[in-house]
Amino acid sequence: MPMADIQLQDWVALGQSITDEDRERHLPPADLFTRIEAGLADVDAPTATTETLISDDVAPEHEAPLIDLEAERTRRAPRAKRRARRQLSMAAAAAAIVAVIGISAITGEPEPASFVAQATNAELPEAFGGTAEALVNSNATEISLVFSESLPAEEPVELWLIKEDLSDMVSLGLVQSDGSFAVPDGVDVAEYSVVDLSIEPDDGDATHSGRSILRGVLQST
Amino acid sequence: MVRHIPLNFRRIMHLQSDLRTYCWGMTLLATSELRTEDTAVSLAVAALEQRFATGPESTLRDAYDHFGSLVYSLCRRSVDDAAAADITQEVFIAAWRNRERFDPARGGLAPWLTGITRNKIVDYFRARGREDRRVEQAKQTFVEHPGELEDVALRMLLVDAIDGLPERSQTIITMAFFEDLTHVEIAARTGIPLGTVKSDIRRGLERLRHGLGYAHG
Repeated sequence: MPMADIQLQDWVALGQSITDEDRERHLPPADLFTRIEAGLADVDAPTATTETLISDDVAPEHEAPLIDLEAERTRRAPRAKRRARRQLSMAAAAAAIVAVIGISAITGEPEPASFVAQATNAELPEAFGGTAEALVNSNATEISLVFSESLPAEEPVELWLIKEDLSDMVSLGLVQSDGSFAVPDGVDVAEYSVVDLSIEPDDGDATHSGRSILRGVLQST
Repeated sequence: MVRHIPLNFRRIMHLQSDLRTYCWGMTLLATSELRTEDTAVSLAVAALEQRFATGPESTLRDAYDHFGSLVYSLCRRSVDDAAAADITQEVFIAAWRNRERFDPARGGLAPWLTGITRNKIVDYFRARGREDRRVEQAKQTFVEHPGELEDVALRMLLVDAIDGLPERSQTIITMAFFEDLTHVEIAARTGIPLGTVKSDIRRGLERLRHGLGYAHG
Protein backbone atom coordinates (compact mmCIF):
# COMPACT_ATOMS: atom_id res chain seq x y z
CA MET A 1 0.00 0.00 0.00
CA PRO A 2 1.67 3.26 -1.05
CA MET A 3 1.67 5.61 1.88
CA ALA A 4 0.13 8.45 -0.10
CA ASP A 5 -3.00 6.42 -0.77
CA ILE A 6 -3.83 5.99 2.87
CA GLN A 7 -7.48 6.57 3.70
CA LEU A 8 -9.29 8.08 6.65
CA GLN A 9 -10.35 4.65 7.91
CA ASP A 10 -6.71 3.56 7.83
CA TRP A 11 -5.84 6.52 9.99
CA VAL A 12 -8.39 5.49 12.56
CA ALA A 13 -6.97 1.97 12.63
CA LEU A 14 -3.43 3.29 12.52
CA GLY A 15 -4.05 5.81 15.29
CA GLN A 16 -5.62 3.22 17.51
CA SER A 17 -2.67 0.90 17.01
CA ILE A 18 -0.12 3.47 18.20
CA THR A 19 1.91 2.11 21.09
CA ASP A 20 4.07 3.88 23.65
CA GLU A 21 7.05 2.62 21.70
CA ASP A 22 5.84 4.59 18.67
CA ARG A 23 5.89 7.76 20.75
CA GLU A 24 9.33 7.15 22.11
CA ARG A 25 12.07 9.28 20.61
CA HIS A 26 15.76 8.82 21.18
CA LEU A 27 18.42 11.45 20.68
CA PRO A 28 21.12 10.49 18.20
CA PRO A 29 24.70 10.63 19.53
CA ALA A 30 25.92 14.21 19.91
CA ASP A 31 28.63 13.85 17.26
CA LEU A 32 26.38 12.37 14.59
CA PHE A 33 25.83 15.52 12.58
CA THR A 34 29.59 16.10 12.51
CA ARG A 35 29.92 12.58 11.07
CA ILE A 36 27.29 13.36 8.44
CA GLU A 37 29.15 16.52 7.42
CA ALA A 38 32.42 14.62 7.29
CA GLY A 39 30.81 11.92 5.17
CA LEU A 40 29.54 14.53 2.74
CA ALA A 41 32.84 16.40 2.59
CA ASP A 42 34.92 13.39 1.67
CA VAL A 43 33.06 11.05 -0.62
CA ASP A 44 35.96 8.63 -0.79
CA ALA A 45 36.70 8.45 2.89
CA PRO A 46 35.76 5.23 4.62
CA THR A 47 33.21 5.96 7.31
CA ALA A 48 32.34 4.19 10.50
CA THR A 49 29.26 3.01 8.65
CA THR A 50 31.34 0.84 6.43
CA GLU A 51 32.76 -1.15 9.29
CA THR A 52 29.32 -2.10 10.43
CA LEU A 53 27.56 -2.40 7.12
CA ILE A 54 30.07 -4.23 5.00
CA SER A 55 30.86 -7.47 6.71
CA ASP A 56 32.85 -10.31 5.22
CA ASP A 57 29.75 -12.31 4.50
CA VAL A 58 28.13 -9.60 2.43
CA ALA A 59 25.06 -10.67 0.52
CA PRO A 60 25.65 -11.16 -3.21
CA GLU A 61 23.74 -8.05 -4.27
CA HIS A 62 26.09 -5.91 -2.23
CA GLU A 63 29.05 -7.21 -4.17
CA ALA A 64 27.66 -5.84 -7.40
CA PRO A 65 30.12 -3.08 -8.14
CA LEU A 66 28.08 -1.10 -10.62
CA ILE A 67 25.06 -0.55 -8.52
CA ASP A 68 25.99 0.23 -4.96
CA LEU A 69 27.82 3.48 -5.46
CA GLU A 70 27.54 4.38 -1.83
CA ALA A 71 29.04 1.16 -0.59
CA GLU A 72 31.66 1.38 -3.29
CA ARG A 73 32.68 4.85 -2.21
CA THR A 74 32.87 3.93 1.40
CA ARG A 75 34.22 0.43 1.13
CA ARG A 76 36.70 -0.17 3.86
CA ALA A 77 39.46 -1.36 1.57
CA PRO A 78 42.25 1.18 1.02
CA ARG A 79 41.63 3.39 -1.96
CA ALA A 80 44.09 1.71 -4.31
CA LYS A 81 42.79 -1.70 -3.48
CA ARG A 82 39.26 -0.46 -4.03
CA ARG A 83 40.16 0.83 -7.43
CA ALA A 84 41.81 -2.42 -8.45
CA ARG A 85 38.77 -4.31 -7.33
CA ARG A 86 36.50 -1.95 -9.20
CA GLN A 87 38.47 -2.37 -12.42
CA LEU A 88 38.43 -6.10 -12.01
CA SER A 89 34.69 -6.09 -11.54
CA MET A 90 34.20 -3.82 -14.50
CA ALA A 91 36.24 -6.21 -16.61
CA ALA A 92 34.13 -9.09 -15.40
CA ALA A 93 30.98 -7.17 -16.19
CA ALA A 94 32.22 -6.25 -19.63
CA ALA A 95 33.13 -9.85 -20.36
CA ALA A 96 29.63 -10.93 -19.58
CA ILE A 97 28.11 -8.65 -22.14
CA VAL A 98 27.11 -10.51 -25.22
CA ALA A 99 26.32 -7.63 -27.49
CA VAL A 100 26.83 -3.92 -27.36
CA ILE A 101 24.92 -0.88 -28.43
CA GLY A 102 26.03 0.90 -31.51
CA ILE A 103 26.10 4.66 -31.61
CA SER A 104 26.49 6.08 -35.02
CA ALA A 105 26.92 9.79 -34.68
CA ILE A 106 28.80 10.15 -37.94
CA THR A 107 26.37 8.65 -40.40
CA GLY A 108 23.37 10.00 -38.56
CA GLU A 109 21.73 6.62 -38.82
CA PRO A 110 20.80 4.78 -35.64
CA GLU A 111 22.14 1.30 -35.49
CA PRO A 112 20.35 -1.38 -33.53
CA ALA A 113 22.29 -3.44 -31.06
CA SER A 114 21.46 -5.13 -27.84
CA PHE A 115 22.50 -5.44 -24.27
CA VAL A 116 21.64 -8.52 -22.36
CA ALA A 117 21.05 -9.67 -18.85
CA GLN A 118 23.95 -11.30 -17.14
CA ALA A 119 21.59 -14.03 -16.14
CA THR A 120 24.35 -16.41 -15.22
CA ASN A 121 26.38 -13.76 -13.48
CA ALA A 122 26.19 -13.71 -9.70
CA GLU A 123 26.41 -9.94 -9.86
CA LEU A 124 22.75 -9.77 -10.83
CA PRO A 125 20.90 -12.01 -8.41
CA GLU A 126 17.56 -10.81 -9.72
CA ALA A 127 18.40 -11.01 -13.41
CA PHE A 128 15.48 -10.59 -15.77
CA GLY A 129 14.86 -13.66 -17.94
CA GLY A 130 14.70 -11.76 -21.20
CA THR A 131 17.01 -9.53 -23.16
CA ALA A 132 16.68 -6.03 -24.54
CA GLU A 133 17.72 -4.22 -27.65
CA ALA A 134 18.70 -0.63 -27.26
CA LEU A 135 18.94 2.02 -29.92
CA VAL A 136 20.67 5.35 -29.49
CA ASN A 137 19.57 8.00 -31.95
CA SER A 138 22.03 9.88 -34.12
CA ASN A 139 22.52 12.88 -31.88
CA ALA A 140 22.52 10.67 -28.77
CA THR A 141 19.59 12.43 -27.14
CA GLU A 142 17.34 9.42 -26.92
CA ILE A 143 17.54 5.72 -26.14
CA SER A 144 14.89 3.30 -27.36
CA LEU A 145 14.43 -0.04 -25.69
CA VAL A 146 12.84 -3.14 -27.18
CA PHE A 147 12.40 -6.11 -24.86
CA SER A 148 12.34 -9.75 -25.86
CA GLU A 149 9.63 -10.41 -23.32
CA SER A 150 7.49 -8.49 -20.84
CA LEU A 151 9.21 -6.90 -17.91
CA PRO A 152 8.21 -8.07 -14.42
CA ALA A 153 5.09 -6.08 -13.56
CA GLU A 154 5.00 -6.48 -9.77
CA GLU A 155 7.35 -3.61 -9.05
CA PRO A 156 8.44 -0.52 -11.00
CA VAL A 157 11.52 -0.85 -13.19
CA GLU A 158 13.81 2.14 -13.65
CA LEU A 159 16.32 2.88 -16.39
CA TRP A 160 19.73 4.27 -15.45
CA LEU A 161 22.83 5.45 -17.22
CA ILE A 162 25.95 5.02 -15.14
CA LYS A 163 29.44 6.38 -15.66
CA GLU A 164 31.90 3.64 -16.31
CA ASP A 165 34.10 4.85 -13.46
CA LEU A 166 31.03 4.66 -11.19
CA SER A 167 31.37 8.30 -10.19
CA ASP A 168 27.81 9.19 -11.16
CA MET A 169 24.50 7.81 -12.35
CA VAL A 170 21.34 9.34 -13.77
CA SER A 171 17.82 8.02 -13.95
CA LEU A 172 15.99 8.11 -17.27
CA GLY A 173 12.70 7.23 -15.67
CA LEU A 174 10.46 4.28 -15.17
CA VAL A 175 10.16 1.61 -17.84
CA GLN A 176 7.03 -0.43 -18.36
CA SER A 177 7.60 -1.85 -21.81
CA ASP A 178 9.25 -0.93 -25.11
CA GLY A 179 9.74 2.81 -25.46
CA SER A 180 12.00 5.82 -25.94
CA PHE A 181 13.74 7.67 -23.15
CA ALA A 182 15.30 11.10 -23.31
CA VAL A 183 18.95 11.29 -22.33
CA PRO A 184 19.16 14.16 -19.81
CA ASP A 185 20.94 17.34 -20.92
CA GLY A 186 24.62 17.26 -20.20
CA VAL A 187 24.77 13.48 -20.13
CA ASP A 188 27.10 12.06 -22.75
CA VAL A 189 26.27 8.42 -23.52
CA ALA A 190 29.92 7.83 -24.35
CA GLU A 191 30.72 8.73 -20.76
CA TYR A 192 27.61 7.37 -19.05
CA SER A 193 27.95 4.17 -20.96
CA VAL A 194 26.58 1.59 -18.56
CA VAL A 195 22.89 0.93 -19.18
CA ASP A 196 21.16 -0.54 -16.17
CA LEU A 197 17.58 -1.55 -15.40
CA SER A 198 16.66 -1.96 -11.78
CA ILE A 199 13.64 -2.82 -9.70
CA GLU A 200 12.71 0.28 -7.73
CA PRO A 201 10.13 -0.27 -5.00
CA ASP A 202 7.96 2.77 -4.35
CA ASP A 203 9.50 3.24 -0.96
CA GLY A 204 10.70 6.77 -0.57
CA ASP A 205 14.26 6.23 -1.68
CA ALA A 206 15.02 7.89 -4.97
CA THR A 207 18.43 6.29 -5.23
CA HIS A 208 19.24 3.07 -7.04
CA SER A 209 17.84 0.11 -5.14
CA GLY A 210 20.77 -2.13 -5.94
CA ARG A 211 18.39 -4.65 -7.50
CA SER A 212 19.48 -4.66 -11.14
CA ILE A 213 17.76 -6.97 -13.58
CA LEU A 214 19.52 -6.12 -16.82
CA ARG A 215 22.75 -4.40 -17.62
CA GLY A 216 24.97 -3.67 -20.58
CA VAL A 217 27.62 -1.27 -21.82
CA LEU A 218 27.16 1.12 -24.72
CA GLN A 219 30.03 1.07 -27.14
CA SER A 220 30.65 3.50 -29.92
CA THR A 221 31.11 1.80 -33.26
CA MET B 1 -16.46 5.60 26.33
CA VAL B 2 -13.87 8.28 25.82
CA ARG B 3 -10.31 7.17 25.62
CA HIS B 4 -7.70 9.80 26.13
CA ILE B 5 -4.74 9.38 23.85
CA PRO B 6 -1.88 11.44 25.22
CA LEU B 7 0.05 13.42 22.67
CA ASN B 8 2.75 14.56 24.98
CA PHE B 9 5.81 14.03 22.88
CA ARG B 10 7.60 17.17 21.84
CA ARG B 11 10.32 17.00 19.29
CA ILE B 12 13.68 17.95 20.63
CA MET B 13 14.73 21.05 18.87
CA HIS B 14 17.60 23.40 18.69
CA LEU B 15 16.29 26.82 19.56
CA GLN B 16 18.72 28.73 17.37
CA SER B 17 17.90 26.85 14.19
CA ASP B 18 14.23 26.88 14.97
CA LEU B 19 14.16 30.64 15.26
CA ARG B 20 15.90 30.82 11.92
CA THR B 21 13.43 28.52 10.20
CA TYR B 22 10.60 30.27 11.96
CA CYS B 23 11.61 33.49 10.22
CA TRP B 24 11.58 31.57 6.93
CA GLY B 25 8.13 30.39 7.81
CA MET B 26 6.90 33.91 8.40
CA THR B 27 8.24 35.00 5.02
CA LEU B 28 6.43 32.09 3.45
CA LEU B 29 3.26 32.98 5.29
CA ALA B 30 2.81 36.09 3.20
CA THR B 31 2.62 34.13 -0.03
CA SER B 32 1.10 30.81 0.87
CA GLU B 33 -2.01 29.23 2.23
CA LEU B 34 -0.52 28.82 5.67
CA ARG B 35 -2.56 30.45 8.37
CA THR B 36 -1.70 32.19 11.56
CA GLU B 37 -2.95 29.33 13.70
CA ASP B 38 -0.20 27.12 12.36
CA THR B 39 2.39 26.34 14.94
CA ALA B 40 5.90 27.70 14.78
CA VAL B 41 7.14 24.16 14.26
CA SER B 42 4.85 23.42 11.33
CA LEU B 43 5.73 26.77 9.73
CA ALA B 44 9.39 25.99 10.17
CA VAL B 45 8.96 22.55 8.61
CA ALA B 46 6.93 23.92 5.70
CA ALA B 47 9.64 26.50 5.02
CA LEU B 48 12.32 23.84 5.33
CA GLU B 49 10.54 21.63 2.80
CA GLN B 50 10.22 24.52 0.35
CA ARG B 51 13.95 25.15 0.28
CA PHE B 52 15.33 21.65 0.94
CA ALA B 53 16.01 20.84 -2.72
CA THR B 54 17.86 24.06 -3.45
CA GLY B 55 18.95 25.48 -0.11
CA PRO B 56 22.49 25.88 1.26
CA GLU B 57 24.10 23.19 3.39
CA SER B 58 22.69 24.78 6.55
CA THR B 59 19.37 23.39 5.30
CA LEU B 60 20.64 19.90 6.03
CA ARG B 61 21.37 20.94 9.61
CA ASP B 62 17.78 22.16 9.93
CA ALA B 63 16.45 18.91 8.48
CA TYR B 64 18.61 16.97 10.90
CA ASP B 65 17.44 19.08 13.83
CA HIS B 66 13.83 18.41 12.94
CA PHE B 67 13.99 14.80 11.82
CA GLY B 68 17.27 13.34 13.13
CA SER B 69 15.55 12.04 16.22
CA LEU B 70 12.70 10.51 14.19
CA VAL B 71 15.09 8.74 11.81
CA TYR B 72 17.33 7.54 14.62
CA SER B 73 14.37 6.38 16.71
CA LEU B 74 12.94 4.47 13.75
CA CYS B 75 16.31 2.73 13.34
CA ARG B 76 16.35 1.91 17.03
CA ARG B 77 13.17 -0.08 16.56
CA SER B 78 15.13 -2.72 14.70
CA VAL B 79 18.86 -2.31 15.38
CA ASP B 80 21.15 -1.43 18.30
CA ASP B 81 22.22 2.15 18.96
CA ALA B 82 25.59 1.93 17.18
CA ALA B 83 23.99 0.58 13.99
CA ALA B 84 21.15 3.09 14.36
CA ALA B 85 23.69 5.93 14.38
CA ASP B 86 25.45 4.48 11.31
CA ILE B 87 22.21 4.12 9.40
CA THR B 88 21.03 7.60 10.40
CA GLN B 89 24.30 8.99 9.09
CA GLU B 90 23.77 7.18 5.78
CA VAL B 91 20.18 8.40 5.53
CA PHE B 92 21.09 12.08 5.84
CA ILE B 93 24.03 11.76 3.47
CA ALA B 94 21.84 10.01 0.89
CA ALA B 95 19.04 12.53 1.43
CA TRP B 96 21.36 15.47 0.89
CA ARG B 97 22.98 13.95 -2.20
CA ASN B 98 19.52 13.36 -3.67
CA ARG B 99 17.93 16.53 -2.35
CA GLU B 100 16.95 17.81 -5.79
CA ARG B 101 14.58 14.87 -6.04
CA PHE B 102 12.56 15.99 -3.06
CA ASP B 103 9.40 17.83 -4.08
CA PRO B 104 7.21 19.15 -1.25
CA ALA B 105 4.19 18.97 -3.56
CA ARG B 106 4.46 15.19 -3.38
CA GLY B 107 4.54 14.92 0.40
CA GLY B 108 6.46 15.75 3.51
CA LEU B 109 10.15 15.60 4.25
CA ALA B 110 9.47 13.29 7.21
CA PRO B 111 7.90 10.48 5.13
CA TRP B 112 10.54 10.99 2.43
CA LEU B 113 13.29 10.53 5.00
CA THR B 114 11.65 7.56 6.70
CA GLY B 115 11.27 5.97 3.25
CA ILE B 116 15.04 6.23 2.78
CA THR B 117 15.52 4.99 6.35
CA ARG B 118 13.44 1.87 5.74
CA ASN B 119 15.52 1.08 2.67
CA LYS B 120 18.77 1.53 4.56
CA ILE B 121 17.56 -0.68 7.40
CA VAL B 122 16.67 -3.44 4.93
CA ASP B 123 20.08 -2.99 3.26
CA TYR B 124 21.71 -3.27 6.65
CA PHE B 125 20.03 -6.57 7.42
CA ARG B 126 20.70 -7.92 3.95
CA ALA B 127 24.39 -7.30 4.47
CA ARG B 128 24.43 -9.18 7.77
CA GLY B 129 25.25 -12.83 8.03
CA ARG B 130 23.71 -15.27 10.48
CA GLU B 131 25.27 -13.82 13.59
CA ASP B 132 22.99 -14.57 16.44
CA ARG B 133 19.37 -15.40 16.81
CA ARG B 134 18.30 -11.87 17.61
CA VAL B 135 19.81 -10.43 14.46
CA GLU B 136 18.46 -13.33 12.44
CA GLN B 137 14.99 -12.81 13.84
CA ALA B 138 15.02 -9.07 13.18
CA LYS B 139 16.35 -9.76 9.70
CA GLN B 140 13.48 -12.10 8.99
CA THR B 141 10.94 -9.63 10.30
CA PHE B 142 12.16 -6.59 8.45
CA VAL B 143 13.61 -7.97 5.23
CA GLU B 144 11.02 -10.60 4.47
CA HIS B 145 8.11 -8.51 5.69
CA PRO B 146 8.94 -4.92 4.75
CA GLY B 147 5.35 -3.99 5.60
CA GLU B 148 6.19 -4.38 9.29
CA LEU B 149 8.76 -1.63 9.08
CA GLU B 150 6.42 0.50 7.00
CA ASP B 151 3.71 0.19 9.65
CA VAL B 152 6.14 1.17 12.39
CA ALA B 153 7.22 4.18 10.31
CA LEU B 154 3.62 5.17 9.60
CA ARG B 155 2.65 5.06 13.26
CA MET B 156 5.69 7.13 14.22
CA LEU B 157 4.93 9.61 11.44
CA LEU B 158 1.33 9.85 12.62
CA VAL B 159 2.47 10.62 16.17
CA ASP B 160 4.64 13.45 14.86
CA ALA B 161 2.08 14.69 12.34
CA ILE B 162 -0.59 15.04 15.01
CA ASP B 163 1.96 16.56 17.31
CA GLY B 164 2.65 19.22 14.69
CA LEU B 165 -0.99 20.30 14.43
CA PRO B 166 -2.21 23.40 16.23
CA GLU B 167 -3.56 22.51 19.67
CA ARG B 168 -7.24 22.90 18.80
CA SER B 169 -6.87 20.71 15.71
CA GLN B 170 -5.01 18.14 17.80
CA THR B 171 -7.92 17.92 20.20
CA ILE B 172 -10.52 17.71 17.45
CA ILE B 173 -8.59 15.24 15.28
CA THR B 174 -7.90 13.03 18.28
CA MET B 175 -11.60 12.94 19.10
CA ALA B 176 -12.70 12.33 15.52
CA PHE B 177 -10.17 9.70 14.58
CA PHE B 178 -9.33 7.89 17.74
CA GLU B 179 -12.57 8.15 19.66
CA ASP B 180 -14.88 7.80 16.67
CA LEU B 181 -16.89 10.86 17.65
CA THR B 182 -19.03 12.62 15.04
CA HIS B 183 -18.54 16.28 14.16
CA VAL B 184 -21.69 17.21 16.08
CA GLU B 185 -20.58 15.28 19.17
CA ILE B 186 -17.20 17.00 19.08
CA ALA B 187 -18.83 20.42 18.75
CA ALA B 188 -21.15 19.65 21.67
CA ARG B 189 -18.38 18.30 23.85
CA THR B 190 -15.85 21.05 23.21
CA GLY B 191 -18.12 24.03 22.63
CA ILE B 192 -16.25 24.73 19.38
CA PRO B 193 -18.64 25.81 16.56
CA LEU B 194 -19.56 22.97 14.18
CA GLY B 195 -18.17 24.80 11.13
CA THR B 196 -14.82 25.20 12.85
CA VAL B 197 -14.81 21.53 13.81
CA LYS B 198 -15.42 20.55 10.19
CA SER B 199 -12.79 22.85 8.73
CA ASP B 200 -10.25 21.83 11.39
CA ILE B 201 -10.80 18.18 10.53
CA ARG B 202 -10.53 18.79 6.81
CA ARG B 203 -7.37 20.82 7.22
CA GLY B 204 -5.99 18.38 9.76
CA LEU B 205 -6.58 15.53 7.36
CA GLU B 206 -4.67 17.33 4.61
CA ARG B 207 -1.81 17.94 6.97
CA LEU B 208 -1.72 14.32 8.11
CA ARG B 209 -1.72 13.19 4.49
CA HIS B 210 1.28 15.41 3.83
CA GLY B 211 2.99 14.25 7.01
CA LEU B 212 2.47 10.55 6.36
CA GLY B 213 2.95 10.09 2.66
CA TYR B 214 5.35 10.86 -0.12
CA ALA B 215 4.18 10.04 -3.64
CA HIS B 216 6.93 9.13 -6.04
CA GLY B 217 6.44 10.20 -9.63
